[in-house]
This record gives sequence, C-alpha cells and structure tokens, in this order.
Amino acid sequence: MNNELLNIAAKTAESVIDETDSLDILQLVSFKLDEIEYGIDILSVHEILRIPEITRLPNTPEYIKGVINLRGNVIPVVDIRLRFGMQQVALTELSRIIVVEIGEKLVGLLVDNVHQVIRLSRSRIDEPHDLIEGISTEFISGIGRLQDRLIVILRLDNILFSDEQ
Amino acid sequence: MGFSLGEYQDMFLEEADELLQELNQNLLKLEKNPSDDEIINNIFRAAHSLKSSAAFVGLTDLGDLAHKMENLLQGIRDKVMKVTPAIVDVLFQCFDVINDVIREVSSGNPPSKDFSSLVKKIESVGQQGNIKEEKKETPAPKKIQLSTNIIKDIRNGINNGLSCCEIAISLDPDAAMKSLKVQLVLTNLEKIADILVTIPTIEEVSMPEFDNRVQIILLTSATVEELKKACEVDQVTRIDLRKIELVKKDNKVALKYHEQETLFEEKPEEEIKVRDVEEDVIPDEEEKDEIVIRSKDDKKTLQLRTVKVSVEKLDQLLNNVGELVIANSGFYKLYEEMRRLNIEKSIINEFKNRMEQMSRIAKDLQSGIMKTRMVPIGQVFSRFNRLVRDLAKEFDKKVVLEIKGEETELDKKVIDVIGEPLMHLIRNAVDHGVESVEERRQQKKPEIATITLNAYQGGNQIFVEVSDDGRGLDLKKIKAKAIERGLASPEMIANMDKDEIYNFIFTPGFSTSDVVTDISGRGVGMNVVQETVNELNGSVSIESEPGMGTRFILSFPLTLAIIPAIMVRVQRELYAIPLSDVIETIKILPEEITTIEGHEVINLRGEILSLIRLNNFVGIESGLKDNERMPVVVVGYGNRKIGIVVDLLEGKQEIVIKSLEQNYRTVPGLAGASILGDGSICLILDISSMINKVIMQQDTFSFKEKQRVLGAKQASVEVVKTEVATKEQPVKETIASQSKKEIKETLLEKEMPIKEDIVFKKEPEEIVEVEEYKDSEKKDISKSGKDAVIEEKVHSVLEEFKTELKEKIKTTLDKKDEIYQKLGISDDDLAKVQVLANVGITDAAESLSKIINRRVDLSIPDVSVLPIESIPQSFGDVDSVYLGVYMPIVGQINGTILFSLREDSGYELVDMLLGLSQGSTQSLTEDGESVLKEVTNIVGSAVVNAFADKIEMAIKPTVPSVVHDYMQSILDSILAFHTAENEYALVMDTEFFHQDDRVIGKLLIMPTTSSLATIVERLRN
Repeated sequence: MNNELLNIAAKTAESVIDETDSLDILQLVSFKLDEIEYGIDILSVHEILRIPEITRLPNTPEYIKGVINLRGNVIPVVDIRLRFGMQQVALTELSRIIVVEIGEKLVGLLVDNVHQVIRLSRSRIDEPHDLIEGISTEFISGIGRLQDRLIVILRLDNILFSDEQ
Repeated sequence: MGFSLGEYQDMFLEEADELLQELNQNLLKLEKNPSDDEIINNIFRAAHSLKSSAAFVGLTDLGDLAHKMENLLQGIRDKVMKVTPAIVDVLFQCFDVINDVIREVSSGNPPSKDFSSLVKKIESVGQQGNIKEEKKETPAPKKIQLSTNIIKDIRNGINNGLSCCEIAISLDPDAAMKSLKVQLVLTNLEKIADILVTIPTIEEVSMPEFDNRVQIILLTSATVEELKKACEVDQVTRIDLRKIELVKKDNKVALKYHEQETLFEEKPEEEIKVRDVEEDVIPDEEEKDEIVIRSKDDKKTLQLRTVKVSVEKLDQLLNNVGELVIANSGFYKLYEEMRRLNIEKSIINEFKNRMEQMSRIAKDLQSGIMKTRMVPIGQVFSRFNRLVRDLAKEFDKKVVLEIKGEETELDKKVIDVIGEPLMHLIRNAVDHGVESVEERRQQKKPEIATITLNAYQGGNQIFVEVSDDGRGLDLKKIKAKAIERGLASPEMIANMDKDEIYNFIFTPGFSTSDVVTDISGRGVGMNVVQETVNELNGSVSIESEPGMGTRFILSFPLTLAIIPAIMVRVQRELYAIPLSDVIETIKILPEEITTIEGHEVINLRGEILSLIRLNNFVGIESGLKDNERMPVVVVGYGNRKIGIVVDLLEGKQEIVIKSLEQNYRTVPGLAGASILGDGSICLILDISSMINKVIMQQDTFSFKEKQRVLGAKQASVEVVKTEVATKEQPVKETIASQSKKEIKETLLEKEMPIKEDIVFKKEPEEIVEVEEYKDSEKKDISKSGKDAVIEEKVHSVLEEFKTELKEKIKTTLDKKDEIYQKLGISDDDLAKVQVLANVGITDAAESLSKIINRRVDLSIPDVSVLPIESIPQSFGDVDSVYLGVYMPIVGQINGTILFSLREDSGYELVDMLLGLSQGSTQSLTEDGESVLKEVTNIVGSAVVNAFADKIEMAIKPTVPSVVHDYMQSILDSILAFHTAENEYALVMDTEFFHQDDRVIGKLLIMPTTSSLATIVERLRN
C-alpha cells in the first residue's frame, strides 16, 4: 500500500556520527529543500510515510495540504515549502510525509525527500540568526554545524498555525 | 486457586443478577403500592428462586439470607405484616449485600460477607412489622463490616503492641442532644486511644434512625478501667467492651471478637443479647495477590455477562478493523494479477470466494464494533430510581421519578460520563428544586413531586433532560449572589436576559452553604455538570418558571455517534451531509435559478429557497456541464432551509464522525471527517453554519425582490427518490409524476455494498402541497404510510357525513326564513344577538387596542344563522385559501368558535396588528400565527362572554388552533376533530379598522345542535 512505513534509521539513511561519546547528542531527521538542509529532532518524529491519498481541506490556509488517514486517525498535512514561503513543486517518488508530534497533535509535514539521520553534539548548535534565506526565524530553533554542512534545526511549535489565526 | 462454585456458577451468577434487578425494581414499586399483591408475589417468587439457586450452588449462607427474606415476604403476602419503610430498607440492604456477593464470586473470590447482622435485622423488622404482636427491641451489638484499610490499621496497631477493642455505649433513649454526648465520649477516648471507626458516624447520631447505641473500634494502650472512665458520660446507660484480635484462618485474616464484657449498666435487669465469639473474615492483602496470580491458569475464573471495555480500546479496535478492510482490498489487486497470469481457473475462483468471504467478515466486524459503541440510555436512567427514592427519604419529601425515552441510543462515551452530571442534577432537584410536602400542599400542588428524566434525538443533537415540578430558580437571588460575589455589576445584570443570569449557577462554587436556602445548592455540582457536558462538546440550557419547576436540558452533538449521511461529490471530492439535516433532494435546471442581489435562489413551490453552490463553498470549480440538471440537497436547520447545489448525489452511508480538532482545529463549514471503508477520508459538512451564513444574506433581501421571484415560474422540481451507487448507472425517479406509486428500490449488484438508497423524511408531504394548491377541490393524496390511511378514512367519513347533511338540508338551503322557522328564531331574536355581539365586540376592541397599544376598532355589522353546509359559499370565494382559527368552547354550551378570513386579509390583519406596513407579511410566520390566535382569543372570548352574561350560562373558550386551508377543509377539520353534530352556525361579519386600513373577517359561533336550542330558549327569557 502507498502509506508504507519506512524505517529510516535502518534503511534509507546512513548515520553520520559525530562525537559519539557525549550524552549531549541530538539526533535529527534531515531533509533538503532547495539545497538547504533542515533537521527535525528525532524525538518528535512519529514516523515517515510515502505519500498516501491526501484529502483536500477547504477553508484552510494554502499550506495545509489536506488530511490523511493514519491508521484511523485523521491528521493534517502541512506543505513545508508553502509554509516557508517557497515555490511549490510537484510530488515525486522521493516525496515523503514526516509525521511529527506537536504537543498532543499528530501532524504530517510534506517534504521533498528525507535525507538521513544526523547525530549532532549540542555544543555544535548555534542560536538562530538572520542569515537563513527566506524562512522566518519563528520556525528555527538553531543552526547545527556538521563538518562543512549547515543544518537548520526546525522548531515545530508554530508550524501548524499562523500567528494571525 | 480462584474461588469457584463449580460448573453451574455461570448460570447461577446470571440468574442471580437478573433476579436482583427484578427484586430491586419490584421493591421500588412495592414501596409505592404497598398493597399490590401481584408485586408482593413477584418479589416473593424471585426471593424464592434466589434461595433455591443459592443453595444449589452451595452458597448456603446466601440461601439462608434469602430464606429469611422469603419468610419476611411471606408475612407480608399473608397479610400478617405490613409493608413498613423499615422492612423496605432492610430488603434493599439485603439486595445490596447479595449483589456484593455476586460480584465477589464472579471475580473469583469466595464470599466474604457475613449475613448474621442482616438476618437479625430482618427478624427484628419482621417483629416490628408484625401486626399481631409487637415486641420491644433490645440492643444487640451490631455486626460491623470493616474495610480492608481498617483491618490493616488493626494489624499494624496490634503488631506495635497496642490492643484493639470495640466499645459499645448505649444512650438513654430520652437523652437530649445525643450527638453531643457521643462527641463527648469520643473526645475523652481520643485522649487515650486511636479511634478507627465509629458506627454510626457522629453525623448519623443526630438522625432519627439512631438506635441509641454507638460502637467504637479503637487501638489503645490504656487499661479497661481508663476506657470505662472515658465513656462515663451523663446519660450513658451501658458500656460494653469486646477485645478484638486478628487470627489467620484458611489463608484469610479474620477478626476475632472476644467475649463481651459489660463494664457499666444502669438497668442490669434488662435482657441483653450477647453473641459469643464472632469472626469477621476478610481476605488478607498478600493472599489476594496470590489469588490473582493463580487465577490466571484457573479456567473457571468467571465474569458476568457484561464486560466493561474502555472506549479507547473500542476505538483502537475500530481503527484496526478499518486497516483490515483496507488490507483486504489488496487481495483484489492480487486477484486481477492472477487472472492476467492465466492461472488455473479453479484456483482463481477459490481465491475469489475466499477473498469475498473475508471482505464480508471484515465489514460485519466493522459495523459490529461501531454498534457496540451505541448504548441505550435506559440503563443509566434506571439507576436513578433508587437514588431518587433514597434522596426523597433523606430530605423527607415525596418524589416520583418518571423516565422517558430510555431506548434513545447514545455513544458509549457519553453514557459512561453522563451518570455523574445527571446525579448532581437529580440531587439538586430533590434537595432544592422540590418543595417540602407541607409547602406543596400550601401551594395546592400535588404532594408528590415529579422529577422527569427524558432523552430524545432532535436533528443533529441528542437531548437529555432533567426536569422537576418544584419551585423553580429564583432569579432575584441568583442576581444578588452574582453581584455579591463580584461576578457582575448591577448594571451588567440589568442588561442580562434570564438565560445569562441562570448561567451564573454554573460558576464554580457559586452556591455554597452561605447562600440562602432556596436556590442555594443548585450550585453544588453544577460546575461538574457543565464541565462534563462541555467535554463532550455539548451544552446545558435551563428553563425555569417560578413555582412551576425547572428543566435542565443537556444536549450532545451526534458527532460522537454513527450517523447516516448523504454522500455528495464536487468533481472528485466527496462530502457527507448528515441525513438528519436533509429535507429532500431535488434536481433543477440552471435557467430556473434567479439572483437576488447577487445571491442565487429558486422558487421552490412558492417558497424562496436560497442556493449555495458546494463547489464555491469548498473553493473549486464545479464539474457540472452547462445544461445539465443540477442536483440540489435541500437541508434544514431549525425552521430555515437552503439548497446545496452539488455535482453528484452518491448515496446514503453510515459514517463515524472523527473530529478535526484532535490533530488540527475546527474548520469553518466542516463538522468533522469520516474514514470510509476503503480507507479514504470524506469531510462532513456543518449544515448549521452553512445555513446561518446564507440566511443572514437572505434576510436582507428586499421584499420587492422576493415578490419578483415568487411571481416568476416555479421551478420544475424533479425529486430524486432513489439514487443508487455507481456513476455509470444513476437511477432517478420522479415522485411528482407518479406520486402515489410505491417506488421500488432498484437494487444493483454492486462492488460497494455500503451505499444504500436515500430515504427522505418529508418530501412526499411537500408534493402534496403542490397538488393541493393547484386544484381547487381538495384532493387527498397519500402522505405516506399510516398517516395516509388515517387521512383517507377521515376523508371518506367526512364525505359521507357531508352528503348526508346535504340531503337533509337541501330543502332549507337558501331559504333563510325556513331555517329560522325550523329553529324557531325570529328576526327579533337575531336583533338581540346582534346587540349582544356588538357589546362583546366593543370590549374586544378595547382589550385589543390596549394590548397592541394602538387604536383598533371593531364592528359586527351583520349577524345571520346559516347551515354549516352553506358557510363556504357565504365567504364568497371558495377557491381561495383561508386562515381559520378555531377554539372549542366548553361549559354549559358546547361547540366551536371559528374566526376566519381570506389568506390575504389575514396577512393584512397581521400587518395591522403588528404595526408593519401593509404587504409586509407574505406567509404565515410563527408571529403571524400567534397574532391571529390572540385576536381570535380576544374577540371570540369577548363575544362569548357577552352571550354568557346574557343567557346566564358558563361558557369558556379553550386554546385556539390555526388552520390554513380551503374553507371547506377548515370546516371539515373542525367537524371531524371536535364535534360532528353542528348543523348551524351563527355567522358574524367582523370588521377591523386601523387608520385607513380595513380588514374583514368572519366570526362563526358553531354550537352543537342541542346547545343552539338552549341558547335560543335562554335568549327569549
């Protein structure tokens, strides 16, 4: 079936290990949008799905892609690109929905791909700064540095609702 | 090893449970009708059965108890004993104990109850109730049931070197302030001992039931002498002491009472019953754990027939089954694949059979689980019989509980939590709502108050009501309290309506003990009520009338339940409309749509129906082709309706509503979502919000615009009766063209068995109306089912009656003089009537002017007597629709008053009386109806009173009703439903004047034939 559950840690992504001895390790599920890499704390990730049938939800903001049936739960799907004010792109074979837990709610985040799982020492995370192009700092909890890569670590609290609502 | 009664245990438990239910119900009845032999017999039989089956499975103690009950009942049955409240109480206690035993046994534990005290009680009440011999009761040490916690405390105390004993003190029955004495003893004892339990409690001591004996269990290191001293308080007549030890016996911890020692006794000559060594067996804590572990492999651990399952588990199960259905659909793909691969046919067929079987099972499972969530509310309601009885006793009031709508099914989740709020409401109703017997008597109310529990479904809501006929809420006191507590300023309160003020009682802690009695306790638990109801997305409303009673209405959305819905499509998107909101589905042509100020409307059978296009509402293009007939779902909420234009009607389906809030939030226009059998999601439309939106626009339409639309051609409505399944083969039938014919359902072999026929509630009636308005002659077209049959009967009876009547008065028709001659009425008589009528009508004009605060004049220029048959002609215009308001009159004269005017005149009158500009009213609104009723009431009563005064007879008009129909039909309905003996009517033209407007109606007094004779006779004298 199309809502196949992927065990990303085991299958699709290699683990990049950095300073493994520290307790202070953050594990991130990362994905790329327009060459920028984003990470979500793995503790808030519920599961990752291939794109199932999405039912459009009228009278909601454009970035709400619709709702999906997750084993009997009706959960909303946020199109991350539209949420971040980027150009919408067509769904591909690589498109995924990352189901995250925000408070008590389960929310699906539609992303172009799921890249890998990253282990990152908390010491390598900086405060968010204004240098990140396009996306608002309300969605960013920090910037992680991993060798020569920069990973934008997302804050999910504001992802579902806009301020004005 | 779990406890078991052997192979018949199951049977026994089930039977005992049923018997107990029956006993409880019957005893409640007996309490109300103590002399009903049949109830006594039923109770007796049930007790007897219980005795036999308990003995059969070896529960001899229980059997003995039942035997004692039986003896008691036999006394009642044989009339040597009276049913006293004490007997009823003891019996209830027995039932409770037996119930406990059943629970214990069913959970695999041996019965731990001791019945001896109950047996004693039965014996003693038996003696009390005995009519022949009455014997004075002697104080006997009561058996105390101790909780496991107390046993634990005792064990700890003894292990720490304290001794445990039970002290029983008797008080002089004539002692004043007994609770104070007891308190004194307790205070003294507290200084030297730890008091574990006091029976009865200090509060109960002040109750009238107190039997002057208190038992105290305590842990102490003090000596017996010290204890005795502590208890020696004035008016204590006797002190007994028993030492308590814990012993182990058969893996149980037992409470061993030593011999009783009387420390002090005022009247030693009195006979004292002393029991020897007694044991109170309570299973040991540690032992219990062990039993549970063992019972795992004990197959005979048994449960009662019902199992309590959490709703979460049911939800989980439902989700899993949903998954199963989806997973199953994978086999279809596999099947297609197999066919393509040319696998042997027999294997493919076998595969197909199995696959279909599995799909069926999965779907049965799904619907089965859905239904398990729905539970009739009766089981919750019936619990309260006992509560009301106990409360009424407690507060010394007379109350009966009336239960209605117990078969109404609610979601399990609601059922589970509704008990508590209802309990609070009932408690409050008994405590504060209902007056004391004395007070009720003074107010001339029936002494026995009624509390009613009612449940019913209305629209998309389920309502549960608790009402009482007590004193009602006291607005003044609530206001005062709200101001006192700073919840609102006096100015705010002044601007609040009743409902807003009532709502204060939901404020947490609003009504505490410091509030004056009347309304007070209403606040107790009210907050719980509101919170619980809110949790279920419900609401509470209050209706209250001082002196009449209070009604709390809890309403819950059906959204928790499975609802039938009509599935519609816009392009490929599927939406569900709850069937309870749907009035009918029709198809219209695009050119029949008119616009008013930019809003689309159609003229549906002479009524403006606003349209809303679903595709616009959900923000996509319509998939309809230009000249295609458009399916419209006519939905109603309250008395408003609109039409929703969709692309396609899919069919009816049962759906479970899932909230969007759970993971997102409420979405405007959507009531939720539902997951369909194939795993896809369908959104449910929130009809009330859609209607509100449209209606707000519709209300702004100008009258002229409305007239324009109504003046135009009516839409050629095609009513869709059956719309089955697949897009390729839509089956449509029109009811308009074959109104009476039963339309057979077209059943198609379909892949999706979930889709059923659409069934509508109201549409046939609507069609009837159309036909009626077209033809002048009233045709009775079948309404549907039973109504139709009844109506037809009534109609044929009426026809017969009319023909008969016609024959009879053929000769007198149009020959006034002959009528008068026949009735013996002279012109003089008529003149008298005329005068009387004018006297009456002057009064009427005055009261009417007062009420509407504008000068309205009335006159009756002409009075005549006509045979009923010629009344329609007398109105002149038989093809017009009339408004008729009739009031049956009762008293020494019987008959009916009818005030009638042509439809348009009626509307003019409504405008005149409501102070609207002429032409505003175009249909009979609720307001209009009540205005007409009021006018009829005033005018009719005034005229009747004038007559009554003159002829010195008591005549009283009753409640008016409105009929909107042809004159003949109006008369028919009056004659059919009230009295068929009217032959003549007193017809009075009635004119209403206000400024330049003039409306003419006719006031008819139609006395029965005999009453008419009486009137004429009386007028003469």
